[in-house]
Amino acid sequence: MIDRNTRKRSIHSAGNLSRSLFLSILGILTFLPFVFALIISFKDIFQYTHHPFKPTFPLMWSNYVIAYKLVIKYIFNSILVSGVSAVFVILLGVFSGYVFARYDFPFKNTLFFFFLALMMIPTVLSLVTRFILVMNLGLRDNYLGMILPYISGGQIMVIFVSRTFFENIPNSLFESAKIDGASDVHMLFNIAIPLSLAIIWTLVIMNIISTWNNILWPLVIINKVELMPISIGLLHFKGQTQSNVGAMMAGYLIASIPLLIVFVVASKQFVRGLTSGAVKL
Amino acid sequence: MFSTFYKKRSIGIVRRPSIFVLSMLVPSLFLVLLFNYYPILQSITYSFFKWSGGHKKTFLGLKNYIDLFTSSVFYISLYNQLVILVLRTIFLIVPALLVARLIFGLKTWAKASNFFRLIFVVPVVIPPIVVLLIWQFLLDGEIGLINSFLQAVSLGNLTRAWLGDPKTALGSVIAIGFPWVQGTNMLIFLAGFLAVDESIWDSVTLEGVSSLQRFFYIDIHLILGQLKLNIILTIIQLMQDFVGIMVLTDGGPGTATLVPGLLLYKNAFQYAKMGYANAIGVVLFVVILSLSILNSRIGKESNQ
Repeated sequence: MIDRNTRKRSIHSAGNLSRSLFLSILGILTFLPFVFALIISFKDIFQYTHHPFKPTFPLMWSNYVIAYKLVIKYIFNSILVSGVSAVFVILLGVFSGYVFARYDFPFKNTLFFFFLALMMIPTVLSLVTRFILVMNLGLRDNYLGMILPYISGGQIMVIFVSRTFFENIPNSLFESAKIDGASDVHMLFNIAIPLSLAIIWTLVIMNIISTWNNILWPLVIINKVELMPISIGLLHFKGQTQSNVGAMMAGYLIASIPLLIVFVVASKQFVRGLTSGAVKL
Repeated sequence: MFSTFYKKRSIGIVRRPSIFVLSMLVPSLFLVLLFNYYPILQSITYSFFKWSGGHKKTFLGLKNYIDLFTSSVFYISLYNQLVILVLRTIFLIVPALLVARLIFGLKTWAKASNFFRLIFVVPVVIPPIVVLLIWQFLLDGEIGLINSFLQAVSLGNLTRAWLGDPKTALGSVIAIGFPWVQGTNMLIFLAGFLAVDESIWDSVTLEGVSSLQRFFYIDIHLILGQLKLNIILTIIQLMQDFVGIMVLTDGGPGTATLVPGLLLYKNAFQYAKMGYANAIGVVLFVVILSLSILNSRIGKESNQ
């Protein structure tokens, strides 16, 4: 009983309460735009013009039906593009990271630097020429026009991180496998990869976030509405719902759900991925 | 077991790359050469040419660069970029630092500190395009919620198209995201505070200085590494991120919110001046590269 009281007092000290109060105010302000978007998403245009702030009834669920029909194809495009990109980013990145970690070959360090240097070069430098290249390859208005450059750019981070990780796996594990006659491929898929699944998932999530949120490249390379990922599909959607603010907000909120699901399922990897900027290089 | 510590090097010494090594490396290398190095070298080369995207190119020497550095539009865009850089960097750093310190201060109350940590991380998950479009709607001149609010509190004379008025456009673009508690920066600061040795905090508490003094004179010094890192990462990000402005105002009205990245985009894709656009790209590249090098120096320092 006594223990409990003293613990309670230290937890609910004046300092802790004022900190919580201040954080609560900032938290409410942070979420305010999204709360208003949620409230407005249930209004028709008359409810919105007369009562923009407070909830109104009946709730216009139909806004969500309208918005869903318009944005779902963009979401599927994004799932396809980000999903396929992530799979190949991981495969290619891990393959290269593995040989950099565990094999010797001529010009190894030069080659590694050759990959690594790309992390320092902003994509804006080659935006124009990459666009011309992809157009000349006939990949404009094509999923591959997004996927191939995403794989190419995304694998760099994976090569860098997985090399460091594979170098720290004890050599004895590989040696004993080798004595048992394991092949190079076998050691990669049955020793190296299973031991690094945690870091691989973090890399997967980081890659999905970055391709999912990419606005610039799809804007340059995709004109066909049917092929648009959600990041630019929403711009098109905005034009379609200009006269129905409720449906507009509903669409914006629906568009936020997929990454929110990823966050709920893999919040640990998500958070680790976010802060990795601090350890990069 | 101990042998693994000093025998961490590669398994067999292979003079020539084996078929395995080659087959693992070639796909990565092929893609990087095609989609990264080829366009990079091309864009540097073509920055010295008159080029509209086709096969026809005319060598101009330094003319694109001279045109750029003598164009008043470029200096307007640089000025806007500088204003955005200074203010946005402050906005994206200071609230995050403050929140991280407050959450760290709550560590005796684990439930609350975990709750607030989650609250300020969740917004990071919302796609930037959604954040941009919601704010664009809030700031809209006709249907915007901010104008409705001003009318409701009888400040109707202040209403305007916030992003469409040359006087308020740049300010509105900068203000987006209020109160700007940037989740990623907050997490990095929090990790910094948590990494400080417990005994240092104890000795600091005993000195009897006010908490505000302590924050500025002591706390900030303890996480100086994270602070420098976050500032440079934020600046690098801001320099490259013109797409937000493109979505919100397309650089307008007039040149009120134009930034160099957007100037590049417009020259390339609207005026078909691709050589000139590449020259802008090269200038941006030099600036961002210098910042990245500075960043990795600081990264190494703070890792030691």
